[in-house]
Amino acid sequence: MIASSIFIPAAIILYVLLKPPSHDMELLHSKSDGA
Amino acid sequence: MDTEFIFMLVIFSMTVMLVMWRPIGMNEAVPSFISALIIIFFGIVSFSNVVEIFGIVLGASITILSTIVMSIVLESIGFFRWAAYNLLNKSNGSGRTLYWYTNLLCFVMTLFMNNDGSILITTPIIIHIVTILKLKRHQKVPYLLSGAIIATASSAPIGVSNLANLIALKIVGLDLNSYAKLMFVPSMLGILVISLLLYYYFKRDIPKKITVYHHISPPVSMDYETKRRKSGYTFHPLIHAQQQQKSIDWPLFCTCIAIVVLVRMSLFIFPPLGIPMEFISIAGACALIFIRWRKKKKGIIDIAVKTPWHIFIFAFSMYVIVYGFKNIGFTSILVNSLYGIVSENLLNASLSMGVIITVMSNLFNNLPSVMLGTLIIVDMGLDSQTMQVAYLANVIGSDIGALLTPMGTLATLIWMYILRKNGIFLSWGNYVKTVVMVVPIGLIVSLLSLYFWAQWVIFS
Repeated sequence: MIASSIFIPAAIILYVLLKPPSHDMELLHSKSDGA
Repeated sequence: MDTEFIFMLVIFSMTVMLVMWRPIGMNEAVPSFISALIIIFFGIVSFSNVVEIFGIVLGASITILSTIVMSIVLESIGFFRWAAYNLLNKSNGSGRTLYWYTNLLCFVMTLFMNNDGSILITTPIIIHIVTILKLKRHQKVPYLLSGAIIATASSAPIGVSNLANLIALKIVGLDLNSYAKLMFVPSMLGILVISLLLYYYFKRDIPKKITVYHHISPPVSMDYETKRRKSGYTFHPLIHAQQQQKSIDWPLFCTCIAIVVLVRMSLFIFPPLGIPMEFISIAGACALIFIRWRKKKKGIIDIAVKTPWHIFIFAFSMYVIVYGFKNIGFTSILVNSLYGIVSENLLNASLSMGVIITVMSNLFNNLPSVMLGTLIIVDMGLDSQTMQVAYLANVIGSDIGALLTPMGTLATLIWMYILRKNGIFLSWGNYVKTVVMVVPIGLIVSLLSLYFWAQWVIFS
């Protein structure tokens, strides 16, 4: 309970900080598709 | 008693001086280990004491070392280049947004790793960011100093972010869950106050608008990078240039982060079921190493070389030295003089222990201070509630109060060393001039919050 109430919000913050901008994400996906 | 005390004082002073000064790049474990051997040789700490200390320090050191191994794996897959690139992109040209993002990153990194690891990771990222932004010296300081303060202070909310806290936990009979239940809110309030005060202190120096003069390479793949733009920029000062040209695998990156989060949560969930914390940490580190090997075919040589294995020897030796003080009766003197104040009520316990450990940490570093403080608290024979509040105040003093001088924590000393290596000179005077405006207020807020919060948790 305590662990999830601390680490789930922290993980969301980390994800938001590290999520690539959408244009980079598109390029990443197109690269993985073989483009 | 007098001869022994003078002997211990000389040994202790020499050790602290050499650990801080590090002549000819000496590892901090060397002087502390030699001092511990001398103390054991003269019989001040017995063999049975050594066995006891070994048992206390081993599990905590393994847990911290496993966390460091995880951060080395993350570094090798480009995690930190990714972070620097994203922070700049997400700031949308606002220096203030970038300021809050860097602080947030430092906080989260300490929460998921540990204070020393976080400083080692985030300082080069911030140096890199302020360098590519071509900020003036007075504009760089807000990002660097607040990042270091937040990264170090953020080791207080959960017990597993700091080696000293982890060692002391066992002694006072707390586990990670009860620690977080009592400590998360008070220390978060202190950190929040410190970050707001730092923001207002630096507001005029933080540039409103920032412009990226260099092209910044996104840390994706070389193919994509060549198509997009050609950049000769070296991204992370800790990463070898050749290493930076390797491609980054986004799914691998997400998997590794998910493992780090799961391991952190497991440290809270499984130990109450009888699984030792260090087993979980080792399993997490092994999982990351295995996944990297599967995806990148990379072995463990870089990890073996980069991991600071000496941490265990350092912590063990410092504890032997502190135990020496206990055995010669020095802690009994402190126990007798402090018992009246600490045992009176929870408010006194919180404020007195927090302030005492702050003073001690800034005089001779927080690791021996928190160990000595814990031994004093245990020897006082307090009721369990007062003992736990006094111990948590001890931690607040050593994690937040210790920030008053660079001497207070190893993390701050590492930070100053990285700055110097990168040509950024910040004197101890300038450091103290800034932190003295924010840290004492943050410390008092945390200690008072601890008193009110503990009362509410214990008596509700």
